[in-house]
Amino acid sequence: MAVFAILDRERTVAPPDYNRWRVPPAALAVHLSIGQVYAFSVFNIPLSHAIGITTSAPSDWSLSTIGWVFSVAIVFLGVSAALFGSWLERVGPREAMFTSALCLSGGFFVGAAGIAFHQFWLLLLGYGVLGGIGLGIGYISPVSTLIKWFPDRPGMATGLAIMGFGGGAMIASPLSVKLMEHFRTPTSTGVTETFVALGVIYLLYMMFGVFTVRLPAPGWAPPGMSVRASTGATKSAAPHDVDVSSAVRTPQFWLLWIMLCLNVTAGIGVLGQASAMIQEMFPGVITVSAAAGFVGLLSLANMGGRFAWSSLSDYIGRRATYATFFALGAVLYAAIPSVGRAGSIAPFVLCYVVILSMYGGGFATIPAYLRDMFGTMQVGAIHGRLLTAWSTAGVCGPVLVNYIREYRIAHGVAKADAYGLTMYVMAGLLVVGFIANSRMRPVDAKYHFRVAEEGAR
Amino acid sequence: MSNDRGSKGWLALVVAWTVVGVPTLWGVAQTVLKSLALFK
Repeated sequence: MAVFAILDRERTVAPPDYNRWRVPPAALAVHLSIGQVYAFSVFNIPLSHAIGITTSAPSDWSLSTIGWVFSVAIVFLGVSAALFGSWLERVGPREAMFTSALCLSGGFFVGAAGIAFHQFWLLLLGYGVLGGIGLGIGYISPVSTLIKWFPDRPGMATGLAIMGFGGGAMIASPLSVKLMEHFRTPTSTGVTETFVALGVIYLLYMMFGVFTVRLPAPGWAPPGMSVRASTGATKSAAPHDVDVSSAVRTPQFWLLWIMLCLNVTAGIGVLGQASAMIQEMFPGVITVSAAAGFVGLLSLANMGGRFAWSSLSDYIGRRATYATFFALGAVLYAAIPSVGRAGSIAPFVLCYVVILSMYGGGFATIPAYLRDMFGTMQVGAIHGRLLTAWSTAGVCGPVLVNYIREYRIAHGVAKADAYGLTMYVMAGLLVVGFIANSRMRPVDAKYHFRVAEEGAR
Repeated sequence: MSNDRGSKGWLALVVAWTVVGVPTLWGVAQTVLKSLALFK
């Protein structure tokens, strides 16, 4: 349809004098919106009181049932990023962002209907499935575009966007609380209306990204830099570009998959348990509100680390950055039980701040690492496939932390000491990641994309 | 000087960064205020 022609890849190409610094805000608008998913927990209690309003009625959903909504959304994030990566490379960032916006806001609207009619399957289908697809497409949409605009600083550029994903929850959490307070009545928790309002807000906000994103013209290069032909929106490929189907057959892809999975497993497990962990390791010293402050501090470290570490990787290299994550992370995890036993809160908090900064840094640095290995031609699609490591870690991390803790407590270990073994296991995982990173070598020439191959297809 | 490097281009740049910067700073400020409880 002609009305959708504006979304075409060709209509997205920027004029030669376009200021590339106008592109990161487009990417940020999308990532700040989809980062909302990490604030979903603010709906847990109100959703569990949807019928009873002030307390849970027998027909209300339980917290464990509601927990499935977030889990399904994260699973669909990984699945859709993997499935739609090649489509994204074909249609360009604008159409992909537009689709992401429709899915995310549509997910809110369908979810709102599910809450209004108290149909859990509808909430799961809306926010979990439809919204999750919006998250996956939105997450990978701007990555390859930013790498093409910033070939001189790909780590900084993608870090900026992915930092938005970390920051999205910081906006969504207080915003959702304020909206629920506004819409709450004696007969309603206000969640349905809040879902509708968020659907409208995020649709409009993401449309800002949709209509401001631009692709660089073919052959474009930043001033003073000569880049390979593939940096532009061109079909020709430089000698070391690798297409997505070849990339997933290389050992480098699977080494990166393992590295991302282990880095995320180590971080996500403690992130979900941070509040309980600090209260149990310092009983009587850390209050509930202080523990909430600790979680907030970790969120800031997670967000700041995304920009800081990925920017640093442009100077010291991706391999050295990941080596730092794994080596320093292993040392810090191994030190935490001793620091906790010593009763020193400040070093304990500092250890976690650095660990969570590296957790975020791992997410933000991986697209630039992929670009170093596989070129820019299909880096968005390859990134999408790699995000299945995130979905895997999203299940493994919390399970590992919870299982070890419960096993230890069941065997008579005090709550304050129950996390010690977990920390050593996490340190071990990071040592494995360090070894995987040290095995990283340039991709074999047999996987390199050749223009003649494209013509033969 | 072409349009994008001219005053309109710079205005578009400022507007774009403001659109994403203001909500981000608000969210970060809310989180910083929450974090202060740890140091009390």
